[in-house]
Amino acid sequence: MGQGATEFSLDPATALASGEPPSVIRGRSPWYLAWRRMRRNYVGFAFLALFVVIVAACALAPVYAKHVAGTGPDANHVLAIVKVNGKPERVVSKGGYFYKKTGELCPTTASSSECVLISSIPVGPTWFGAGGKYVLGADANGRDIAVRLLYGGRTSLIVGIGSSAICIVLAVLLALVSGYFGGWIDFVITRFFDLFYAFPVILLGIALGSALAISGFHHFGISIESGSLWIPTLVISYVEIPYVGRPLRGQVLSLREKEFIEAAISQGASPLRIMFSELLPNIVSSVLVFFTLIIANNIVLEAALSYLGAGVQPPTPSWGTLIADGQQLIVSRPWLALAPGIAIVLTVLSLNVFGDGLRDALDPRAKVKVGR
Amino acid sequence: MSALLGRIPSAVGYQPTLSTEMGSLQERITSTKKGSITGITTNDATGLITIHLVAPQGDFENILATEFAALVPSNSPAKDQSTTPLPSTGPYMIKSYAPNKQAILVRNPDFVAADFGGNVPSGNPDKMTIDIIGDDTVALQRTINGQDDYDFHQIPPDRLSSTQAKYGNQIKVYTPANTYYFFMNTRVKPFDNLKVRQAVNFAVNRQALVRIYGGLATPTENILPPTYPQYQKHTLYPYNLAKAKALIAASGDKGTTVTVWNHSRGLDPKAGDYLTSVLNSIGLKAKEKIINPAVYWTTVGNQATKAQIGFADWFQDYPHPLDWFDVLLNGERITSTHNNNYANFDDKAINAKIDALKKQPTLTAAVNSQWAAVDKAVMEQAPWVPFLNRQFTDFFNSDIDLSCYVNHVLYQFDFATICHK
Repeated sequence: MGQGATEFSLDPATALASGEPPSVIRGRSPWYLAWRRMRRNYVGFAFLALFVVIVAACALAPVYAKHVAGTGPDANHVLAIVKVNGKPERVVSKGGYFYKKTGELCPTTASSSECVLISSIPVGPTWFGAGGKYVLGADANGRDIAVRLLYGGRTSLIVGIGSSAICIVLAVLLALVSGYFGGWIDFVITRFFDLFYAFPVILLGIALGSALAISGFHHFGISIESGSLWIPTLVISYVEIPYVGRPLRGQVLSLREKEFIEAAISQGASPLRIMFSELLPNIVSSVLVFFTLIIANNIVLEAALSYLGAGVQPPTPSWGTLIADGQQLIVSRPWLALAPGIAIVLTVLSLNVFGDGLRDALDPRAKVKVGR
Repeated sequence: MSALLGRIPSAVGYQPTLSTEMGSLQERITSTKKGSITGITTNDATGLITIHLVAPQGDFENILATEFAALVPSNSPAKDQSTTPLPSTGPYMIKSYAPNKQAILVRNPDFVAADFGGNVPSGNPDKMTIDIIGDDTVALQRTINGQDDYDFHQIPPDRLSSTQAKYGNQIKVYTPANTYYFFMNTRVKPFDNLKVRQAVNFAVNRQALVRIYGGLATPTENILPPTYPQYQKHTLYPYNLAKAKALIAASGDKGTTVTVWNHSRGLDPKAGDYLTSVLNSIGLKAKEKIINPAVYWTTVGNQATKAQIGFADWFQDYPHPLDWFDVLLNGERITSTHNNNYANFDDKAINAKIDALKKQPTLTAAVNSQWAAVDKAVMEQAPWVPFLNRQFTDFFNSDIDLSCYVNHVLYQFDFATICHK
């Protein structure tokens, strides 16, 4: 058989006569094409794996707390003693103002030169020298930082992912309604977006978070107690809606003028059907990319709000509250603030790199980004 | 006083209308829509001011000496005057004040120390700049760097040794009359139940709280601080977690949801975290509510808040047991807003005892022992969990000469006494 026989022929009769099956051009779905582009992005997958590891570690926090550290995230062990490499050590060292001669508390009659100040410092990282207890050290209340870091990660991820999901759902609905119907409906919704744009997102978050942290939310038949994780979750999702909704509305406006929409209208399709069967599938790639990027954004926002006291309320740990706690001991026990900081960096980095890869794979021409 | 009256003192003293001014001032601040206090009479000719009390009050002279009884011009508006300070007297005056940022004090050119018979010192610095810093660590570092002369904040517990090792002579440790405590609101569940209140007292390990405060404190179960002559140590609630759990089980309030109130300043939130952990460990379901310190006291002092349990502390306004028991624990003085009796403690027998002791003009040994009995009687009802009496630090940079240092019994470090080496 000559080389030329393998060449593509448009003549099916010739192909049949040759006894070979005709060459078939297989249709490739957009998802398959995206997967083909994505699977070559090894860096993106590496960071996805990192994110999965972080999520798994945080999900297993109760197992670690119970079977390794032997303490819960909020349990105080101020007066406890832990064996580090076989040597007993106070979880929080005994500080105070002591009389040099006797080692007792300094009497009020003694002069300052007769007494000495001793620092009270929690135990530092034991790095498994204490059988898994206090791996990253303790805080001033004798709480195990590694346990709180994992539980804090659960909180931050729940708030970050939960708020992103709520934000995306509401933003998509508003974008579809606004872009499809246009007119005064579009005007009202875009003004709603503009209203939120007018406020710096952190300030709006602090204002809402602080107000709700005191008395909770008890309106419109909805009752959320202060201290509930629903408060930071809803506050963050609420303030982020326009940052997702507005670009999606732009896409819907553009798609609305396409021929396939006109065809659907001419066939008598209802607005709901057009929005959810025609428009939504065409923006879903952008929605997916937004979702990954906004999770990272919302984890950072949650940390910022919790750090400032307007997000997750103590003693519930979150990476933001842990940084705020650790700040007070930044000189003597820097790991208290560094560990949650590193956790945030790794989580956000992993989501952003994977999100960028996903964006390139789904639509290389798209310019989707979450920015303010 | 001349500034108060807006006049220059005459060679023979103040203007002859001083007494009337004082009388009208007192009338103004004590008048309400329902009526006014008419018990103050004045005589401009003799300068005599007479105050008629409806009943004897042992701490009346102390009250007259507090800031709250300071005289102000009769046309002073009844609202916050922080940014437009009222005229007063003294060696210094406020040159500028930017809330949450900075205050600058300069010498008062009208102040003449001789007019006060040597009772008010002229002060050492010509100008004092007070920078308001939110963080203990930052404030400490600024003082170490020489940016500030004095650190009004407390040295963080983990920095005590290292700071003293380097700047030992520049630290002063002092113990003002104070008591740190958790209040339990006796009007709301579950703290309307004596067993629950006693359980919390048994469950709190005061030594743990002392360590949270860096060891600069002594544990206590008393209302009054140990510096008081009326203080008699009682130990009604030695740490006993098992007993606490048993009391909660017996109370029928096991599993009740409890909100621990606190503010966000200094080490106090950590005390709240500890209490929350303790409450959860004895069978209650505790969560925390932490609010801005600027609104904390008015919030928990408002009956509408129905604050169940929370952090509180008290520093004496004047050295008298009435400043503790009458102000903080007399049920007859409970108010709907700005309430100081956060526990809403209202025990008729104890109220009567406080009222009776209020009539004692002097604090004799016999009266003191009666106050000590009141202290114990209150704690038998356990409206509070008193946990420590705290020590404090004053830290100065190396340029400051501490031979000038004066620590006042009420107001602690006297800024006006600071002097450079």
